[in-house]
Amino acid sequence: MVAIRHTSLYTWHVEHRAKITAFSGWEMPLYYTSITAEHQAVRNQAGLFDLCYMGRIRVKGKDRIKFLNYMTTNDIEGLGIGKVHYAFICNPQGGIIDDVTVYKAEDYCLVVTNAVNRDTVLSWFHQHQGKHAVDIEDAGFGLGMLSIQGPKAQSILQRVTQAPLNDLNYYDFVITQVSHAEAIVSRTGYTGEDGFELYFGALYTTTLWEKLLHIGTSDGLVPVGLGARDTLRLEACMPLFGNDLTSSTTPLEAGLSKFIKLDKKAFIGKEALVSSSNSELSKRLAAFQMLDRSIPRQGYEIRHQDNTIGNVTSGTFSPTLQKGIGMGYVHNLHSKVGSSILIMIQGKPHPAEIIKRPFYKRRHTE
Amino acid sequence: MNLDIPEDIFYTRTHEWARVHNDEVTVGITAYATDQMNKEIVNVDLPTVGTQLTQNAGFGVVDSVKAAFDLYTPVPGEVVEVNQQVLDDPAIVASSPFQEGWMIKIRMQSAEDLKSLLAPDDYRELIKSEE
Repeated sequence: MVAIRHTSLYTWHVEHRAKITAFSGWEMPLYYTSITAEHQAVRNQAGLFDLCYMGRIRVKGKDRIKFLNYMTTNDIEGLGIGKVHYAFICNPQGGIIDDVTVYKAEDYCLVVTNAVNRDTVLSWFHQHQGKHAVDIEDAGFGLGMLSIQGPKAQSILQRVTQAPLNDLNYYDFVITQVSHAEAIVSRTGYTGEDGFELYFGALYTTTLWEKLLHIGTSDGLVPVGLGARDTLRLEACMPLFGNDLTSSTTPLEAGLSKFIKLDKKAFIGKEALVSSSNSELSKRLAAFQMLDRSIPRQGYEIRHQDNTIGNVTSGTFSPTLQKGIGMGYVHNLHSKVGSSILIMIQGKPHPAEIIKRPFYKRRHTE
Repeated sequence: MNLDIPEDIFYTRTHEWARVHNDEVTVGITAYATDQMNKEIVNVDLPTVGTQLTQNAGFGVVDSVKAAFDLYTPVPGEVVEVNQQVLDDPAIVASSPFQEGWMIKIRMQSAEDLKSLLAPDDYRELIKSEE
C-alpha cells in the first residue's frame, strides 16, 4: 500500500478552500471556485497550475541521446539544444507505456512523465540501461513544477523574468532567473492556450506560486485545479494517458504518428509500429460531439445502429461549446468526420457526430 | 455541508427527495446532492410521461461538468409529469432543488411503497455520516 502523496503546495490549497480529489496516488485540487470559472479564466485571462506531481527524470552521461533515442519514439538526435518535443515510450508491441515531453539541455535531458507513470518509467529506463553510459535520476522531488496558461500568461510571467519571452517559440525553453529562482521556462502546456511550464528548485515552489498569483491578479490570474485541466485539454483534443492512451493502444491508432520516427535506428516498439503502419488500422481515436444535451463519459459504449463499435475514452461537458464532447476508439469504418454514431447512456442511445479535431483552437496571439 | 432538509418530504439514500400529495409523488434531488456537484449542473436527462418506473431503478441522469450522477426511483409507478423547465435550464436544480428544481411526478401505486424512504432526521444522519 503506497501512501497518499501531497505536493508542497497542499497546505496552501487546503487553506484556500480547494476541493481535494484523489489523482494517480496524489491528493490534488479538483477546483478552487468552480471548474467552469477556472476553465474560462484560462481561455480568457490566465490560470496557474500546481504540477509538482508530474514525474521528472533527468538523464545525464555521454550516451544519453543514444539511450533516449532507443527508449522513445521521437528523434532526440535531431532535436536542438533548448528545444522540447513530445514522444511516446512504447512496449515491444507498440503499446503506449507513457507519453512524455523531453527537454534537451546542454549536458542533460529531462523527461517529463505522467504522475501515474513516475515509477513505471523510471524502472523501465533502469531495466533497459544495459551498457549505455547514462545516469538516470528521479528529479521529481527535487524540482518544483508550475504552469501558467492563457492569453495573459506571457505578460504576467514577463514581470518576474528578464528573459525575452516574446522570442521564445512554441516548444522552446530557456534556463533563466524567475523571481529569485533559477528555472527552466518552456513555452508548452496542456490547455490549448499559449502558456509556459516552469521547473525550479523545489524550495521555491510556494514563494513562486504566491508571487505569480500576486502579480497576476490584476490580469485575472487564478489557481486552476484538475477539473478544468481536464476540460481544457479535452477541448484541445490532447490525449490523456490512462484514458485515451494505454498499453493496448498504439500512437498510430491515436492519430499521433508524427511523433514516431520510423526511419531512425532501433527503438523499443519499432518493429511492431513499422508492421502496423504498413497495414490497415482496425480502430482509430476519433473526436465527437453530442447532438443532444447529454454528456458522454469514459467507458460509455459507442454504437453504430445496433452494433458496438467502440468505447468512450474521455468525455465531458465543454464549457466553451456548451455541449457534451468526447473521444473514443471506433472501428475504422466509422471514424470519418461527419459519421453519425450513438453513445449509450443508461441504456439509451444518444446521437453524436464525429468531428474534425480539435474542438477548440485558439486564435493566433502576438 | 448543506443541511437544508425540509421537514415535509421523504428522502432516499441516493439523495433524491419525494413529496407526496394524494397518490402523486414529486421527485427531485436534495440541496446536499447539488452541493456535491459544486452546483455546476449542466445537464438533466429524464424519462418521458407514461414511462413505468421500478423502485430503486435508474430513471435519469444529472451531470455536473465533472461527472454523471444517476437518479434512482424512490417509489414505483407511472411518470405523469416531467419538469420541462429543468430540461431547458438545468441550473434551476441547483438554485432551487426543493421547489422549481423538481424533476418528475410519479403516480404511486400504494402508500406501502413509502415505507422504505427516509424521514428528514434519518437523512440528516446519513449526510453527516457521509461527511
